[in-house]
Amino acid sequence: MTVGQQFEQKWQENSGKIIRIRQIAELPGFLEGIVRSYGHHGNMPIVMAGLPKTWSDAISQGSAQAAYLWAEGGDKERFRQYCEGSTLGVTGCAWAAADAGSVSLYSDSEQSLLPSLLPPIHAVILKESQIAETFQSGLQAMYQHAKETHFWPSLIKVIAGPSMTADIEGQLILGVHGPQDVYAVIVEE
Amino acid sequence: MPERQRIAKEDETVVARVQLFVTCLADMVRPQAAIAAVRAMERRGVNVEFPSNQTCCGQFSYNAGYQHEAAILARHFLEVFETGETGHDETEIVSLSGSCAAMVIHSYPQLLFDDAMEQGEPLSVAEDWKRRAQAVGTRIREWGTWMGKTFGSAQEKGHHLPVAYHLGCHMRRLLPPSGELTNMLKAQGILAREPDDADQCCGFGGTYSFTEPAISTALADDKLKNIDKLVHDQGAVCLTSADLGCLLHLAGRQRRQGSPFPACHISELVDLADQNRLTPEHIESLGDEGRK
Amino acid sequence: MGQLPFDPRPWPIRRNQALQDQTMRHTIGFVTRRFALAKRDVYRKNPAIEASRQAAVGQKRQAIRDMPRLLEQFRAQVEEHGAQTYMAAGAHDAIAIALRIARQAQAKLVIKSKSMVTEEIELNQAFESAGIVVRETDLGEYIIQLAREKPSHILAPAAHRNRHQIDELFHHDASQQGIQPPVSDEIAELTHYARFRLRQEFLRADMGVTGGNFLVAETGTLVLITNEGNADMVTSLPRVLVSIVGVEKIVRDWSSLVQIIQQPAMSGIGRHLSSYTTMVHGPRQSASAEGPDEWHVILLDNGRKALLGTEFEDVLSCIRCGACLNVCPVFREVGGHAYGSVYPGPIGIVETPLLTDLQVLPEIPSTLCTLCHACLEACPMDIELPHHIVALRRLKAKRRLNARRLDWTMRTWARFWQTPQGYRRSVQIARLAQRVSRQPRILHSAPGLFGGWFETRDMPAVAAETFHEWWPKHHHTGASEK
Ligand code: SF4
Repeated sequence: MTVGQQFEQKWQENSGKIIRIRQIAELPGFLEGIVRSYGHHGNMPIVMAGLPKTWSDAISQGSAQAAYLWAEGGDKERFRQYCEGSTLGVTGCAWAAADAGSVSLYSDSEQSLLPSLLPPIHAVILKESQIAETFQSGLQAMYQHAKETHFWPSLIKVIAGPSMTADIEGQLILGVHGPQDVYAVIVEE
Repeated sequence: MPERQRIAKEDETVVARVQLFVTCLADMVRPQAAIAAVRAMERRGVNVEFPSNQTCCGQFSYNAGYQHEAAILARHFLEVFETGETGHDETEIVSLSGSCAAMVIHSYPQLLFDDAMEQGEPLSVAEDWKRRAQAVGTRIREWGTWMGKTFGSAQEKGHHLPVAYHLGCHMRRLLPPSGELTNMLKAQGILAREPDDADQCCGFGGTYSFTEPAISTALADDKLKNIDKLVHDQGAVCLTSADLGCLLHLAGRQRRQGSPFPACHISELVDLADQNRLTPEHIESLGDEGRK
Repeated sequence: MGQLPFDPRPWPIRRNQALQDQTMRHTIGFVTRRFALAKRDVYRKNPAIEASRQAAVGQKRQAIRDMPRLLEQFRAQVEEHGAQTYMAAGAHDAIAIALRIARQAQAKLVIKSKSMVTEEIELNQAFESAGIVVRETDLGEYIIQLAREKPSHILAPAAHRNRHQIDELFHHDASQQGIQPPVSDEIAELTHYARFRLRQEFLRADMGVTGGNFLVAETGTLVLITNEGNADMVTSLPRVLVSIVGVEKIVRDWSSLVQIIQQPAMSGIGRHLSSYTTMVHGPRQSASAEGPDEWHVILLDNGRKALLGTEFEDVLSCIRCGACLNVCPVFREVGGHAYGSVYPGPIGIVETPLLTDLQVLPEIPSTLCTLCHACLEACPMDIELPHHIVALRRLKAKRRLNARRLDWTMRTWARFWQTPQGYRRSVQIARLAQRVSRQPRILHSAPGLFGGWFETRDMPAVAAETFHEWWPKHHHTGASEK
């Protein structure tokens, strides 16, 4: 099994959903489909953060739905409101781990955690080359990088599945505070 | 020193020599279990010694937090089972309870060391007790596991009688794996089935069974529900275990509820099988002495 | 010595209430067995975990021994990142510090993610009497906050309540808030109500409070683990963040974190990771879209450091995974409330009396454990729970905290059985008593301490011929039928 396949399997075991796309042009249509099937009523259905420019441009231009991208120097309050009112949050990720089926996101000037937190659906877009074999090796690499650059993001968030609870009668329910659906969109290189 | 039969090495019919630790519960309320164990061993050519000064391993006191009281019984135990040549004697001690064997192995060394220190003995004395306890600990085995290991499971019988088998917590978690025991039973035509949730405690817990009867009994009822299932789904004809404490607790609960079900020590089943009397009727009459 | 809140009702009342609560017993039995099975599965399918676990145990033990130095290192690190740190010796100190921070920040609404330590210091009560609204945001914690109860399981705080009872609580809450109540008592609808209700408060809150799963001394990192995502709300949204963490949560360096970080999820719920693992390094960097402007870390001792260098030191390695609760037969039977402590289960009956030098709930090591050793087998940190439970019982006996009847019975028992003559006499006495009480075969009652057995069970009488009595005859005649 390749690292990518292992990630896929684990991510799905964690109740996450998987999409594989060949080229970035397929992305907008797919994201639109998600928003449509969930139903949306506000004026900013999609919020984005931490995506390469080519990806966010493709989404903004290729989609009939309005999409807002967090950018360095952006208005924090306004972004928060957009996130709260949106249906789909789209983010990149710093790295993923195959054995745990997880993705890791950082909070810094260009990347934001809010799209992965406030909307009911989160889609994280990643390349197969970002997937570490194990969560442990990913953490080690992250540490090496932080040491070399003398920089730690103030917040790091590791996501391994949708927000879930079994607090009422032990029954598993998705989407208690964070997203009820998480998609990992793997872009094949 | 207890009386002891010395066996000449060249005696071919003697396959092993063991000391029997009968345990207080078997001795007093289920001697049939100990008698059956002796018969089963002697039939196989084992020379069984019974150091008759033995009393109890002291686990009741130990678990309740009465360390000094437990140490008194532990010292007595060592004196009874030691042969005088500490560290050289390799005679195995077979115990009719897994839990008591675990007590000797795991708790004695530290218990005796601590108690000696607390009583103001010099360190050398405390260490000596510890060493003696460790030496005896290496010799003690649970009876069924010892039987399985010593006699293997050669003569497989064709038919198998299903029984509900309760593996007690200390035997499960503190002694070496006891697969040889169930294999030995199988060779005797006894199919030992564990109930659902087998690894959950039956609630006996020694002193706990009379200091906290409500919880102890709630646990017994859970266990009995799963045993009932074995009876209904698999036709288990009795409940058996290598630990009498658990058995008395579970059987005592059934009797109080007016639904007595045959319960016996594994040794009694082996003894019956040896005599080709392994039938539900014979098993039922095992407890007769106590049932009328 | 630490201070811990406790249920002042006597043990038999707590116990009986628990045993009568069939809803709770059913849910707790179901949840604990499922968690325990999942744990076993994840270890079986991933044998490589075991090496990590063992490394984590060794490193955690060492970190506990080095605690004072590592705590200083941690403080220096996070302060360099722009946070403030505080040492709180006891519960009152921690409360006072937290209140001071809240007042300075003029906080009116505080949101919390689940934290055992804030239960331990009773933060909610203190804030509420200071006029500050505190909102629990973990679904289970939120439910019990509405019901004004304590958690019944570390991982599933509201496991004792069923959907109908929760629906009632939510309806009451909705009418007070003037909002739409849940549309039905379906669990998904109840959860949806909580999401909507709590979302408003997440967005409005001025201050957030978290606990912490790990503190990394080397890097100045706080790690939080949740499944609901509420800790991410709490760390991302309010302008002030206060983290209150027990001093024992310290690990030395990043590589120790790597070994231990998956243990809570693996051992607690049988997953490689919980849904969310959040690492906080400092307050918001100026251009970030989220994170607090201020971050305060309160390190709580409350009786923990007193265990350093004692035979109980390993208790400080606990990662609160809940595995010991999940396998404990007694916990499965009575749930968390019967313990009377914020820390239930095997670790709770050890920790509660220890942190308070046996001042609080000294009965629980005796009343809530059968010594089955399942907890020892389950604990990923190899904490010697059964051994400590016996040690605590020993301390109780020594300090004469037991009923006199128990003392007397144990002493008399040992006195009789330390010699073969005494043992024989005890058999004779038992037989005599059985004759007098006319119970020749089956006993239905017995005097003194042993009476407890007969409340619910029978017992065969002492045999007409004990094995001791049988043996000499057998031995002399050589009467073994071969
Ligand atoms: S004592 Fe062990 S099993 Fe229990 S919560 Fe702590 S770490 Fe987990």
